[in-house]
Amino acid sequence: MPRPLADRFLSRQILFWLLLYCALWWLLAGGGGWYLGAPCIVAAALLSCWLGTPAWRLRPAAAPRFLWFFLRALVAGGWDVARRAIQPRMPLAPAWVRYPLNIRQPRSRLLFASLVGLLPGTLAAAIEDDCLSMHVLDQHQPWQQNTAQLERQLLRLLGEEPT
Amino acid sequence: MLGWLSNAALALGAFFFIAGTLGLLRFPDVYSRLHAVTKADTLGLGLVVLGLCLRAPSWRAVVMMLLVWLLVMASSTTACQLLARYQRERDQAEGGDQDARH
Repeated sequence: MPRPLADRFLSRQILFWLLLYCALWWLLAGGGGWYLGAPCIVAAALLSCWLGTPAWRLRPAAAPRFLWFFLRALVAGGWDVARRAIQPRMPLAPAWVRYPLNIRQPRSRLLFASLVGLLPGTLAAAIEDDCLSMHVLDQHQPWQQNTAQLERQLLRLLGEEPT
Repeated sequence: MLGWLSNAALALGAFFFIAGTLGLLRFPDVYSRLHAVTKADTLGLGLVVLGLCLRAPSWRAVVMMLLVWLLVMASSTTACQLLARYQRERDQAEGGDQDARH
């Protein structure tokens, strides 16, 4: 099938990957060793296209708010767990909960499940029939609000409409 | 001024690493330990990176350290999920009829 293959390789996708890997090589090698870098860059870009990984389509306008929310959640999550670990009586009330997902795309769901692990007190274990199975460190925490807020922010960033 | 800020960030980062390790040692089960390792260590590394960025000799070093942080964050959250899933499946298999939601 020469035709679809050509379509797959000669696209804007490959330009995106080439630029990205060039930037990465420049960053890591400090602008040297291009004779080694160039083949690697081309090979990596071709592989990315062949695997068919579409680039994330982000909404730049939503990025600052997402970043701010994420960093705040990260600090809150780290502080929360550190506090519990250090206190002598170790206040834990662990439980398993299910969160119904609004995100539809499988790839976005995986990203969401990873990010949930950095929120205060939540940890994603599996995605089962449109629900996220999570372990919560303290079931009295507002884990549902936090998770829903992250989901809204992520949907906004990825430009997906909540269903 | 920058030096002091950098020192503070480095010290805070070390604090979170120690707290995460304490959690790893003290928490009662696998899942709670995963919470401690993922969250506290990611934040700890972030603060260490911030502290080092304030002392970095060039922009390239800053971007490189941020990249390292991003990669470590991605790998630790992914590994954490996989470990939790594995342990849960094992618990469910062992628990049999007993509900594994505890």
